[in-house]
Amino acid sequence: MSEKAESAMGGDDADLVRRHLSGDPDAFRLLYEKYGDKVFASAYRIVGEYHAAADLAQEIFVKIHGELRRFKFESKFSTWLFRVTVNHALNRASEGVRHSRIHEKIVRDGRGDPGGTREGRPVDDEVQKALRELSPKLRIVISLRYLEGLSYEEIAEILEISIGTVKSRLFLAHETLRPLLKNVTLGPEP
Amino acid sequence: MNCQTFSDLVFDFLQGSLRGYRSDFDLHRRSCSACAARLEGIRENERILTSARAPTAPAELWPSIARAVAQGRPVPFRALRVASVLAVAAVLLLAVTLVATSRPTRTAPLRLVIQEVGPESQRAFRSLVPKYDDVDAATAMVDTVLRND
Repeated sequence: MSEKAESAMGGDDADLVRRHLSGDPDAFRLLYEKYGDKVFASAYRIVGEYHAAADLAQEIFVKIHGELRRFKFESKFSTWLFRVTVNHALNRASEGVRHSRIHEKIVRDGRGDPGGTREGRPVDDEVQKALRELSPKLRIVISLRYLEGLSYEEIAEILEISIGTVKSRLFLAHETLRPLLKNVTLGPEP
Repeated sequence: MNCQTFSDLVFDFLQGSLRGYRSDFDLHRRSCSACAARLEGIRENERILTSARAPTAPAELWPSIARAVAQGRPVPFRALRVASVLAVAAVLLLAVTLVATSRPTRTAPLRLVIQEVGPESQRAFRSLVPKYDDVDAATAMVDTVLRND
C-alpha cells in the first residue's frame, strides 16, 4: 500500500497502533478497515469454509485488540498480524472450528459466499477446492504467496521458517496442485 | 545441475533473481523434459492462483468485533456459545423440575359413605381404608367387612 493510500486510511500501521494504545477509539477500526479483508481471506484459505473464516477473523481481531500492547514495533504490523492470523487459524483448523453467531447471521442474510454473491466464478471455486487438498502448512505458503502477494522473505518471517523452507514447501504444493488445476480454464475478467 | 538443484532454484528463476546460475539452469531445462514440465506446471499454477479472487469479509464482521471488544474481555466465541448452551440447558432443566414437582398427584379420591352401620364397623373402616392405596382393593375390603357385619 502506498504512503498516500496509508495516509488516506488514517496513517501508517505503527502510528495507528500507537494511537490505539493511547486511547484513540478510531484507530482500531482503521486497522480493521485496512486489514479486515486480508485477515478474513487468509482465514478462509486456511480453514476452507466461509462461515468458519468469519468466526476466525472475529476471534483474531478480538485477540489482537487485547494483545496490541505486546506489539514491539520491531517488525511490521502486517507481519505480526499475519503471524497471529496464521497461528490462530491453524490452531482452530486443528480443532475443526465450525459454525458461529456470525455464521447464523450470514445464512439469514443470504451472504454466505465469497464476494457476497452466489455467482462465484468457476476459477475461484476450483482454486479453493484444490487448496483443500493441501496440508495446512502447504496451503498457508500458497495463500501468502499468491493470494496475499507476499515475498518469500515476508512469508519466512511470518511463519518463522527459513526462505529455503518456504521455497521447498511451495515446490511441494505446486506438485500437488498441478493435477488438480490442470483442467482449470481462465475465463475473461469481469 | 541436477534435478534437485533445479527445483531449489526454480522460484528464484521465476522471480528473476537467479543471477549466476542462469546458464546452468537453462541448460538443465533444455536437457531434462521432466524439470521443464515442472517449471511450466508451476507457471500455469501461478497464473491460475493469482487470478483467483480473494473473498471479502462479511459486513457483519466489524459490528460483531466492536461488540465483543466493548465487553472488555475477548472470550472466544465458541466458549461463549458453550456457556450459552449450558445456561439454556440449566434453565430448561430447572423449569422441567419445577413443573414436575409442583403438579398435584392425580390419584383417585377415595370416597366412602359409611352409613347404616354400627360404631364398631365405622371404626374398622377408618382403620382399614388408609392401608390401601388401591381404591378397588379398599372397596373390596369394605365389602367384606360389611358382609361380616
